[in-house]
Amino acid sequence: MNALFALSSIRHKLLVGVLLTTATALAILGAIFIIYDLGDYRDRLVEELTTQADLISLSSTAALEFEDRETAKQTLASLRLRPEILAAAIYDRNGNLFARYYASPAHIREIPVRAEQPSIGVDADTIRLFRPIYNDREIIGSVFMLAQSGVKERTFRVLLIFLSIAIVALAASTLLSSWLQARITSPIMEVTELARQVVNERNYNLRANRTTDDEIGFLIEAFNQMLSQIGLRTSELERSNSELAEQIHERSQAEKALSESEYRHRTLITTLSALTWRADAHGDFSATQTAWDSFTGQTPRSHAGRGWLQAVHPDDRELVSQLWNQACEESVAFKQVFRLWYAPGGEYRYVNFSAAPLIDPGGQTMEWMGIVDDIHERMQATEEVQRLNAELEHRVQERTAELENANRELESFSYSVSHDLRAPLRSIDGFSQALIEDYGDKLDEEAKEYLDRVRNGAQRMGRLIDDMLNLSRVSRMELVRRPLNLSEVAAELLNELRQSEPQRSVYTEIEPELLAYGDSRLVRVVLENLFSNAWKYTAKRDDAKIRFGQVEFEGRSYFFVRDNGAGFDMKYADRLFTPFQRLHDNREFPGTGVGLATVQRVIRRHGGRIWAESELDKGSTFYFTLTPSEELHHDKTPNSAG
Amino acid sequence: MTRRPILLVEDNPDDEALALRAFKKCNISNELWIARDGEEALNLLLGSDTETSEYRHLPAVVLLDLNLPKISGLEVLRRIRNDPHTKTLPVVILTSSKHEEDLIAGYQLGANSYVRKPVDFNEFARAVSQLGMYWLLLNELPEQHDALKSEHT
Repeated sequence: MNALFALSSIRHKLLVGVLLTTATALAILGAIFIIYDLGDYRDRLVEELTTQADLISLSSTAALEFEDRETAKQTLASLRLRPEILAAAIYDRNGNLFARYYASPAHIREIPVRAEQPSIGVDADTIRLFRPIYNDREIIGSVFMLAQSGVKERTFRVLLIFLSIAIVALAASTLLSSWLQARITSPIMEVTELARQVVNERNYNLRANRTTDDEIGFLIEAFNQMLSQIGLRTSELERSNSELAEQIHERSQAEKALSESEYRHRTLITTLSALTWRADAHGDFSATQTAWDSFTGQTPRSHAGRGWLQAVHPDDRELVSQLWNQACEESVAFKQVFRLWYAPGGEYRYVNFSAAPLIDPGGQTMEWMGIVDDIHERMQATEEVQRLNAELEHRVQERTAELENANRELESFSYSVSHDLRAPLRSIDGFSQALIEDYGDKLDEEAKEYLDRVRNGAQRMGRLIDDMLNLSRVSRMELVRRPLNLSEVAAELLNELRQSEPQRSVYTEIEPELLAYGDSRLVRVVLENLFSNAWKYTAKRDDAKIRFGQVEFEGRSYFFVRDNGAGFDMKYADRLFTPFQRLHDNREFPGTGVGLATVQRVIRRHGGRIWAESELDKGSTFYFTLTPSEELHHDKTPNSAG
Repeated sequence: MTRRPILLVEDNPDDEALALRAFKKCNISNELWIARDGEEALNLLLGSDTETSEYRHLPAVVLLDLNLPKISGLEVLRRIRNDPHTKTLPVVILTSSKHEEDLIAGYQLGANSYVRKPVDFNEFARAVSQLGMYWLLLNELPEQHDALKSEHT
């Protein structure tokens, strides 16, 4: 737009220039011509009128001499042939009007009554003239003439002619200037267009055509050279720009990383509720320690050098000072917990004071930087925890002692139970037997039967005592776990049972390599009870079967002992593992009801679980595991709660 | 069968009677010494009491209860084993207790056997009979005992 405007301006300027030049020349020429022409015209007019006046003068000399007014009048009347003459008059020697002439009555008033001095006056419309009339060098009168001057018309005409010429001249100039413009501006326009294109397309390979050998041609040449220079420079610039952009990118990345790291550190420090400080290579605090001063209430003067140690608790000061000197000497990181004066709170607070030396590449310490972390609450909490722990420990010890005491009491109780309760039972049984043996002949059958009942009762009580002791023993015994082969134990136990009742035929099946991890004695108690139960409750079957194996439930494996014996009603399953609870008649299947309670206690001590499934007269299956499970709380089976 | 006596250390008279009955029942006719507490037993064996020095020759076997007045059975056993004279004397712990600690302590102190008295008299009689059978008939004692025996008889 600007270029076009500039160009149109050039075109305009050229045109205006040419036109102005032409117009100026024409104006000067015209002015000179008009002035000259009008002067000339006037001169000729005056000359003509003078000549006319002279002619009149000449013709009227005689009439004047003879005062022949009529002749003079006629002479003047001849002027009728000259229509431009409006009025004329002849005056006598005394200046009185002698004869007069007028072209129309309107001009009568123009004729002066008296003669005036000779003169010629020309104005725009008229020319007025007084002229003396000579006769042999003697003035005998004067003549007056008034004629149309025609100056105005003449001026108009001349101006009209001049203007016509000027118009033609200007038109010619315009044409000429157009041609010139075409010659001058079109290459410039071309260059301008090219420049525009270059600017828009950023294509520096474009070149203008040189069509002329003049200054414009030179301009185009220069423009082309400039283009190639710009092209070169631009590509260089672009390359350096891209390099620069890359550098800027790298730098901004680095700055970003730096600022992130800085932010992280700042956040870290703020989060740590720690304050930072700086010290010189010798470990003397530098002047500005705003954070330190606001914590300790010190001033730049008081913390300067080793003055900062004055804020340390007097009891800690010497040690800190000593350790700090040592750290400074060895240039090693320093960390110490001590009490620091906290001015806002007016108290000493525990802080974690840590420092690291900044070491230059030459291995020299440049300065020290460090943080002070207020750990007062933590320390107090720790102390509190320690105190509580100690208290707890103390209480645990007390309880343990109490427990141990109770345990000892229990032990001595169970000792006396086993020892002292059994002795009378033995007496009851033994002397009942003695009675039967020694006085059998004096007793009737009923008495003997009663004595048998006494003996049975005593013996049963003996077994109860034994089982109870066993139950308490498995609860108190220390658990020593080790890998066990349950298959082997089972085989051994079944073998023992078989030997105890060789007359029975029981089909037994044991899965090999049933491995577990537990206390061998206690696990043996479990298997002992389960197998002797199975053995006992299959006693009334001819096709007794006992099976020991392993099954999977929900990804966990369980051992099981299965028999096809008497079984039990599942509605009593919850009483199965309760001590002294029995689901069978003692006469049918004798027992104390402590065995399964003992089994469950052992299994619980291992962290496992046990439950049973049974159907009356079809048999029972006892499932158990010796390993703890997070599913223990699930209680999927009614018996697991036991 | 050795004719040497059997020493029964038993504080409970019922048990003593039952033991005697059991011996009789299985035809053990050896002399039966009875000590009713630990002190008495030690006097019999180690002869610290002059009155009982006649017992200086040793029994074939000691049936020792643990729960005894004055000196406990385990202490009696410890002293028996500490004395060179009675060091090798067969001692069978015959007690109501099946206490694990008692068992361990008994064997550690050098008991030769540990037998629990059953409540059932028939079983008790059987146990006594088997003990007699074993210690009086089957078991061989070193020469020292015979030598000592002949010395004192």
